[in-house]
This record gives sequence, structure tokens and C-alpha cells, in this order.
Amino acid sequence: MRTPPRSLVAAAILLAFAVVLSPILAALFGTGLQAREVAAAFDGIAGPLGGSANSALASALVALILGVPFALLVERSRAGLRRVSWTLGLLVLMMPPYIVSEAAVVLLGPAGKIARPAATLLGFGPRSTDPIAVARFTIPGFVYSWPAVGVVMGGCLFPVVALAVASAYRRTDHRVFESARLAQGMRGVYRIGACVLVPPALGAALLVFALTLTEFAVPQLLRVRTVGEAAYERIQEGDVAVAAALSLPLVPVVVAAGALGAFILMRSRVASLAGLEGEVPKFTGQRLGRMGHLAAGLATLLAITPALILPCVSLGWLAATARMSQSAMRGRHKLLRTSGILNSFRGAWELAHDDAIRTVLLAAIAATLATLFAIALARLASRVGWGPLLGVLGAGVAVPAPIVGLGLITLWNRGAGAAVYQSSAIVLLAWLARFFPVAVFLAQGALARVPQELENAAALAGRGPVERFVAVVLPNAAPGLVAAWLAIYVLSATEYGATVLISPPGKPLLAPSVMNFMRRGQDPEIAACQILLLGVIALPLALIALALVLRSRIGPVAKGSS
Amino acid sequence: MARRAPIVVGSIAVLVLVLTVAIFQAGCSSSPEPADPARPTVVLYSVTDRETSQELIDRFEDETGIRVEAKFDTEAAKAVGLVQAIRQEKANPRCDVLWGGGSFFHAMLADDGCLAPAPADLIKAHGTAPQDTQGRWLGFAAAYRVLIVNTDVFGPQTRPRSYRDLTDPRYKGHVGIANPLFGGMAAHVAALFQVLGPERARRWLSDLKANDCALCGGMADVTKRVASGELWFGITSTIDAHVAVDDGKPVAIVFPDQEPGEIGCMEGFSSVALVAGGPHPKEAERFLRFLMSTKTEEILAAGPAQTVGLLPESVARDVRPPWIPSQIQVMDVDWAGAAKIYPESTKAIKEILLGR
Repeated sequence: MRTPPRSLVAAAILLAFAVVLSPILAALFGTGLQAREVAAAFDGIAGPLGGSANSALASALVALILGVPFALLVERSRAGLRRVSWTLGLLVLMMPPYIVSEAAVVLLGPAGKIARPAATLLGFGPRSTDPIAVARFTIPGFVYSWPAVGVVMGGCLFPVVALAVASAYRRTDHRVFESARLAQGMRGVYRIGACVLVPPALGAALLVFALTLTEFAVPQLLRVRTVGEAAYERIQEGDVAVAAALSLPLVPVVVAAGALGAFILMRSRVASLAGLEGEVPKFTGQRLGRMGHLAAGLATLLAITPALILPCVSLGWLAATARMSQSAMRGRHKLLRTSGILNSFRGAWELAHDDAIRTVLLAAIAATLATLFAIALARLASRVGWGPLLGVLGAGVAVPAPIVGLGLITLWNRGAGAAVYQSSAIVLLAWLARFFPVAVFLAQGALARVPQELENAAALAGRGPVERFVAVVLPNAAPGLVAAWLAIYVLSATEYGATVLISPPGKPLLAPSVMNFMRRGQDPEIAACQILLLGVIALPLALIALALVLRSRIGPVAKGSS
Repeated sequence: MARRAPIVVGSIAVLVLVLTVAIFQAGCSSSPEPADPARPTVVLYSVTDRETSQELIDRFEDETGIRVEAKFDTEAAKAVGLVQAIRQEKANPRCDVLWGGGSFFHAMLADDGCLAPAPADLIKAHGTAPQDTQGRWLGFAAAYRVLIVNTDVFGPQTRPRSYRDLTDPRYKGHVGIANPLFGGMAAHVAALFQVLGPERARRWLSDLKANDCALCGGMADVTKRVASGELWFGITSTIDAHVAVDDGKPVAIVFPDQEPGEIGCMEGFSSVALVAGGPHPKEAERFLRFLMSTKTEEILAAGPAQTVGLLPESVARDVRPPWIPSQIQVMDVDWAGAAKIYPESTKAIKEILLGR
């Protein structure tokens, strides 16, 4: 097979770097960077840096603890349970972390709806029956700590790890396990399993680590000081350049993590030969029995508890116990404080359906562009051996969202660029700047698992590069690429920090709208708005799931598929 | 391989379907008045909640035929959002009117040359209502910084009455304020530095630290934590506090420091300003005149923000929600001075409260 011209690959990589890094460069150098001010800003940064790093580390660990058992147990369970578990697992990705952290405080905080009764039940409650003493009883605030930020973010992002592990597991020739078992017993199976599954798990955990580093809303609500907060302080003071500089210490960490992840994925072709001979027998040494299915169910329950069950319980509780009050509003936007669940949903839809449709459209476009470009970039770079270089794109993940927004304003609100700035294209640019590295990472993983031997065989059969890509690479990498599309879609649709700054006037998007209403508390209408947001975000996933179900009912079923 | 081809085809089909539906729906927006390129327009950056401002925007559109293209901020964005966007757009302004965010941040923007003076007759008509000395921002619709108190924890006679009570060791670990590095609480601390003097203000911060005061995610967050019983009391805004009272939460509102000789309750207000070099100056002026009216203050007083009228005619007619007392002793703040002292107050917050 011919390798593509290096100049073409270099141009594609440069374009990707421009998309991802231009906002922070504009923020650094377009707004007057003063070395002395930057040096002063770094005084006392150790504490926030520690808060960011600890939270991110805990988040990656939680994602591993939840994601790996989930993937391994669910992948080996019955088809029905597997579908339900994966649907629930992917729903977790749709849950905005700020809603999850609010739920953690409401249920598990010092006066939590679960924490306080549980503590009383365990005998830690007040000794007195005086109502004031009872009201004053609170438990220690575990939720206000960096481990809690780790649990929230890890709970929200565990599907990233689960998808990576499951994808590697599916692509593995299970005869390898059988051989290892025959040769060395279960010890051999574990050793082979570690070789096959640890690299993608670690790569995905590094991605979770990077995504948590720059999160602002969750640490703010859980009262953990982070670098993101320090950057926000400087932005409020008008020092955008210094704020951008404050995020620079995160860049080498994220770049190292991204490059390592990319390198690990490049090496994860091991034992990925299942596609060579079509369907192969599953490894039969450890077929799940009843206890195994129970364990898969429990793993699912455990994994979705932090970021799906707790928020749903919290929203439901608050909506059910809220007292309705009469609306003081008139006019088109009168939904807040009407009455009844149905009215709440009707009102939420009337208020925000334009925002919702706009959000779906733009997020779908962003996800499509990011996935297509990521596929092209990952394929070109891997063909010339420059794959790990793409890890440097991870620097984009280290840039706080407002810096991206303000940098884009500096960059595009001038001359001919103003046409872009005043259109919805600026929103796409912001989302691509923030999440394109994620698309590249996932696309690299998906493409790396396509056996090179298949392509070589197709080339020997006289297939051209496009034909090989469509007939061999795309079908084999499809699950990973669909996951990449969904990840970018969800991240874009729920993105808030940059969107609120650069969305064109008169064209609001759903995430900022929901955040705007959340200020008013948690009455049924606001819960309805949040559910609407989740529903809109989940729409493509639901459609894809429906298509898969219909396919299995209507279409021909391949031998051995379940 | 045969198993996966349908996944690819199915995914592409779903994608096409979603995009088609979305584009079709976007084209058939159900907004009552579709965009007309020839229609006059004003661009509004609203730091005021959408729930509060949307009705006035709708009324203005109905009355004048001018379309309002609004961009909304949220409490979570603090002053990091639209105020900073205006700064960033200074060379090529896109916004005509900035509404909300408080005079503190308006004063900063005015110092940066981002705001233009209001028409002279409007400044004159503003009377004694709060305003910039050069008329670059006008204040109206007051909201107060109050203590929100959990009524399960405090009986009517034992409720805290002053900002100083936040430092009372009896309440250690059970008091809260919004993170003072951001938004309204940053302005509040700067105002305390200006009114009390730096030494007393620094001591107050030091006592807050000693009392394990919780630094919450915003004033709405303080309100929610007090309503849940996690905190016993804290500083919040009347805008947030009355929502909790309306919802039947076990909370009461205390206007602090009302005894003779005390500093009084801090009066915040909504500020509105014309952006210098904005693209639609005539329409912006009409919108400013629309907002600076007693009718607007009456709507705001009856609406979700529950604010008190500050314009001369509103004061004469006592435009206020019935639950807000008419004789409130307010803190005497020089907002331009507070904006100047802001770097010092922020430094003190970091050193004392955050230990940096």
C-alpha cells in the first residue's frame, strides 16, 4: 500500500492544531501578555493546582473502578441484559456533571435527604428530641472535597473507560484466552487479559483525567479550589492573557496523558485478529452462569448509581415535594411556576423548543465534522507513523472553556472574520476547539483495532484506498466511530462555559438556558427543562438503538451473533 | 463484517434523519414573529435572569416593533460571561445594551471605555436614583442583600440580625456566603471595604475564616443550603430568598443591620448601560428609555425578581412588593470607590479567607 504524501499529512495536522489551539494562542498573545503579571499570578497556584490534579486523579480512578468491571461483565452477559446495561451506561454520558453534583449535595450532603436519615438510623443522630436540636443535626460534609469531585466526574465519565475496554474485548480473538488457559490455567488468562485490556483502559482513564482537570462548575459547587477557578478570577479582573497563562501548567500534563494514550492505543492491535476469519467461537472457559448475570446486573447498578440513579432520585424528590405557587408572569415565557407535571413539560417545550432544536442541529453538525475530520487525521497520521504526535492536540482539553470563548472573540471579531463571529459557525468552532481532541483519541482507538492484515488482503485483491476504507476499515471501526460521534454530540450539546459567551444574540442554546433557569431552584418546571435537555441529547442514541433493534427483528441475523 | 455493515448504514441513516428533521424544524421555528432582516433590531446582553427579563423584552417588541436579539448570562457564569465578552469586543462592539450585573461591573466597564453616556434628558430625569457621575450606567430596580435564616433552627426571637453574626462562634461551621471572588459577593466585599474601611473589613474576613464560613457556588446556592438545613443562615439576595419563601421552604428573610448606628443593608440594583460604538444606537436608546420607566419597575416589582422601584416617580408611588418594608436602612456605598478598592479586597479574600 502506498503511504500518503507527508506534506498532506502535515497540512492536516496543522489544520487540526489551528482549530484546537488558536483560541488559547489568541487569548495569550492577542490581549497583551505581561511577563511580570504572569509571574505574579502564579504565586499561590500550588493549592489550586493540587485541587485540580487530585480531583482529576480520583476521577480517573473512579472511572476505572466502575468502567472495567461493567464492561467485562456486561459484555459476557445475555443479549437482553447487555442491551439494557449499555443503554443505561450511555445515558450516564448524557447527564451534565453540574446536575449530578447538585444531586450529590441534595442527597448526600451534610443535610442530605439520604445522609441525614441514614446517620440517624445508625445512631449518630441528635440525642435530644428538641426540634431545634434535631434541625441543627448535620453530618460531616464529605461531598465538599476533592474525592467527591472525583466520584462525580468519574461517575459521569466511566462509560468512556467502559466503551474502550468493551471495544478491545469485542475485537479480541478469544482463542487467545483458550490457549492461555490450556497452557497456564487462569493465571495465563489473567496475564493475556491484562495485555489486551489494560492499554485501552489506561488510555481512556487518561482521557477522563484530562477532561476533569479543567472542569469548573462541579468543583465550584463542591467548594474545591482548582486552577479553573484561579483562571476565572483573572478573567473577572479583565486579565484574559494571564488567565490563559494560568492554564499552561495543565498543558504538559494533558499532552503527556494524551500522547501516552495515543501510543498505548497504537500498540493495542494485539490479538485483534477476530475479523480475519469471520465469527470465531467465544472463549468458553468462563461462560457466565446465573451468578455471573447477577454480578453483571450489580456492576451496572453500581456504575450508574452516582451519575444516573442519584440525580433522577434527587430531581424526582425535589419536583414531588415542591410547592406550586402562582405565576407572576404573563406573555410567551410564562411557564415557570404553573402547575402539574404535564403542564410543566408542555411549558418547558413551549419555552425551549427552539433552543432545543438549534442545539440538536449544531451538536449533530459538530459531531459529524469532528468525527469525519478525526477519521481522516488519525488514518493519515497512522499511515506515516505520526500517530502519537496527535496526542499534542490534547493540550486543547487543558484550556478552560471561557478562555476558548474569549480567545475566539479576539480572533474572529474583526474584519472578514466578523461574519463567522456573528453566525452559529462560531459555536461550532468553540465546540471543535474543546472536543476535537476527544474525537481524535476515540477515532485513533477505533481505527487502530482494525487488523492491518485485512487491509493488506483487500489491497492484494486490487481494491483502491477508498474502496478499502469503505469496505474494510469503516465497517470494522464503526462501533468505535459511532461512540466518538455520540461523545462529541453529548459533550457539545451540554457545553456551557464557552457557549454562553459566543452563541449569537437571539439564538440561545439549551444548556445555557437550562442553567439560567436552574438559578430559581428545583421546582417541577425546572426539572422538566432539565429532563427536556436530557431527552433532546438522548434522541440520536435512542434512534440508533431503535435502528439496531429493528435490524435484529427484521434483517438477517449473522451466524453466532446474539 | 457482514454484521457491522448495517450498523454503519443505520448510523448514517439516523444521522441524515436527525439532521433533516432538525434543519426542517429550525426553518419552521414556531416563534410568533419570524426574523425579518429589514426590521430594526437591538442587541441586548442580559445578565438579568431570562425569567425576569423576557416579559419586558416581549413587551418592548410589541410596543415598538423593534426586535430584541438577546444573549443571556447565568449566575453560574458570574461576571465571567457577558461583561467580559463586552470587554473583548471593545474594538468591534456587537452589543447595544448591557442590562444587569450590578453597578460594580458597569463601573469597571465604564473605566475601560466600553460604555457610552445615556442621553442627557434621561440622566436628568433619573434624579437621585443611582447612576454613574457621567451617566455611563443608570441604576434601577433595587434588590437587597439579606440574611436568609432557617426557621427550623432559629425561633423568631433568636434569629441573627447583622452581618457580624456570621462570625459568631456559636454558629461555627453553619454559616455561608457566595464565593466572594466572583459576581455579586465580590462586589459586596468590596463595598464593605469601602464602607467599613480596610482594617475592619479584613478583620471580618479573618473572623469568617475562623468560623468555618462555607463559600457556596452563588447566592442561589446559599439559599438552597439554608433551606435544606445544611447551613443555618447566610447572605443572599432578595431575588433568591423570596423564591425559597414562596416555595414553602423553612426559611425567613432578615434585613440586617437596621438598628441606629449600624451600617444598614446593602442595596444592590440592576444597572443598564449603552455600549460605546454599539451597532444600533437609535434602537438602543429606545430600549434604554423603555427600561427607565416606572411601568417597567412596576412589572419587575410584580414579577419573579420582586425588586423595589428606585426611579423618582416609582419612589413617589412607592413601587415595591408588599413583603419588603418601606423603611429600610441601606448601606451608603460609593460604587466608583468600591470598584477602585476591588483589587485590594480581592487580595485580602485570597490571603485571609482562602489562605493563598
